[in-house]
Amino acid sequence: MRTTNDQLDIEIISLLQKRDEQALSRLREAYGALCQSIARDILGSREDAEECVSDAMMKLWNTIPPNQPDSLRAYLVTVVRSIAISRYRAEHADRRGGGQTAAVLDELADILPAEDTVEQAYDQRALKETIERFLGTLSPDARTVFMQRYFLMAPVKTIAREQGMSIGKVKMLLLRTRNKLQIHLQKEGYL
Amino acid sequence: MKQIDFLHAVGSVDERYVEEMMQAKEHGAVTRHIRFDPAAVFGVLGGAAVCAAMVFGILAVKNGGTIKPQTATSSAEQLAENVYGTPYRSGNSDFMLSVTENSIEADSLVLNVKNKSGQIDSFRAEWYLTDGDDSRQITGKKQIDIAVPAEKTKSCTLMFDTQIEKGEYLLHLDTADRKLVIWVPYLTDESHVFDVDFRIDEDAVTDSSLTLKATNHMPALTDYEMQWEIKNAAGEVVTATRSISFNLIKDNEITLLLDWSDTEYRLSAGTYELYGEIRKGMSRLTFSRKFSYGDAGTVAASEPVMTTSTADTEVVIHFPNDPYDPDSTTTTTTAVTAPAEYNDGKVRIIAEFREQMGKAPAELTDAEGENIRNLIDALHLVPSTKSYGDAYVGELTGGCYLIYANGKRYELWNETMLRLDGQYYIMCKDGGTKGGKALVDEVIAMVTKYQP
Repeated sequence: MRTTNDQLDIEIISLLQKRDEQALSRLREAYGALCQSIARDILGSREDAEECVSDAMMKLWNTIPPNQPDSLRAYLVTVVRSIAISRYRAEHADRRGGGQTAAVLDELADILPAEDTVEQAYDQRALKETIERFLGTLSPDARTVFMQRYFLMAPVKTIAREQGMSIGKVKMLLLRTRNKLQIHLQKEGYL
Repeated sequence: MKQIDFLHAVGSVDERYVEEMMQAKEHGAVTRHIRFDPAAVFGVLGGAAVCAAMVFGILAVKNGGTIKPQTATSSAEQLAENVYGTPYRSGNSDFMLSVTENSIEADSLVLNVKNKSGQIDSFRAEWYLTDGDDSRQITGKKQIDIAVPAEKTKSCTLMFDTQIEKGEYLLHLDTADRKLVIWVPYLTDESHVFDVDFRIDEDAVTDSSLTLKATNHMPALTDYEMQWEIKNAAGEVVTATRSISFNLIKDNEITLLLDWSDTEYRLSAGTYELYGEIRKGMSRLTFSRKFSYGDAGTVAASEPVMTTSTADTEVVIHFPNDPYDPDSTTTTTTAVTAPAEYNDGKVRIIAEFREQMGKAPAELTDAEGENIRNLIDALHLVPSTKSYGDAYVGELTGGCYLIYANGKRYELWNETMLRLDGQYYIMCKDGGTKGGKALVDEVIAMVTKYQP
């Protein structure tokens, strides 16, 4: 399934390494709509999403090289998401507006506090590894749905459609996964 | 840890999880569009009207003690037969409790509680499960305090102290002054949840309708929709797929009038077969029933005549290479067949597919799919080989979607309409991100209506 995409990715990465600006137009042509969709789900604004995608393209330009991702798409999606969340965080500190982000934060409110009760500095790397260990315990279906919701922040309706599940099943899967996550985080000392 | 920290941490997980998800998105979008062949499915099922169905027990708790199913009012009394005791009522509260699809597992179930009025925001209940006959207590009694803000819904996980097996159960919720019971079937696999007999009343078959009787042997299930079509003896579809909504009441026979009198098609004497499909959530029931019309034994059966597609018309489609440059046009010729009624010299591209209105991609026959693919070809919407890039549907804001196809960009406006050059409008389903074959399937789904 990835063969043609892989070829495309290799071509774009090659252009990036040659500092050929065609890389950016190819990137936008290939993944622009995907990135736009992800950013808009997070930010809830077309204009903000467009800026976010432009920022992401520039970040790729600035980071490849030296980076050489195995999956350009995954790398780009991660960058877009990161920029979008940072933008959301900066602009919506009071949690108003913001596409799916507010809904996602509401869902997490059952297992995680909105703010720390005391100043705690978490080792982000350790936390990332904790979450990866948790992901490793999930079934592929549960992991995909979890990632679509909390990585891409895709609407539940979209996830249901794309995974061929009912909305109720997606919600239920997410609820159970959050419950498992809470237990996992407690065991690892984060809660 | 704050919620936002968690989101940031999720964003930094290993690339392989991101790639796995992206592939699953694509794969899921493609595989669920596998074409549906009722005959094949029917063969597998051996003719039994048996399939997994959505199972749910749901109960609205209202002031005054009335009980209503959430989705249909016509069968309120029948549904109430499956609910014992009296509804929960506390002061002026107005909670809706429900146990929904997929919410039951061997060790727990999830109870949804909606605070509809907000006059109180919490209550305490003792809960336990009994078997479906209410003759044996299955789990121990536990107490739960449920607090739900006004207008909000909260999901509470009720953990059993034992593993339950597949079957029907009753969830009892006892408060200080009320007892509430909700039917919770734990039958989410391919078991005989949905046990319905269908039969055609041949005395009631006319050239433009037939009467289908359905008897449900399971507890009441509400708000179902059945899609149906009729094929002739040669296996050709003679009525377009249509749908009818109904409720299934336990041990009651319901009568469904399947009617196509609003079309020009009329049955000739002969034998036919009705194909039906009921979907609810991810579950699907399919069945078929043969029937005859007229004196098929003595009257020479004439071939059913389709009332559309009476003339082959070469359809010319004009659209700009670049929608933003109206002077740039391409003329594309395709052999799409248009009904004579549309053969007025104007550009008509979707008319043939009106017969497929309302069909999901998975429900299209190969022939229908091929016809639509021809149309997609004509519209240059077919991606070449790449799963992304050459063709892509991206959902934008405000009900606007973009299609990137062969380097061109097309816009889908007003949530359900595609505007190519200001003349062509194609209804589409909800968008979302799709690529490659999924795009074609999605566009097939979109091509359901043409408005000049």
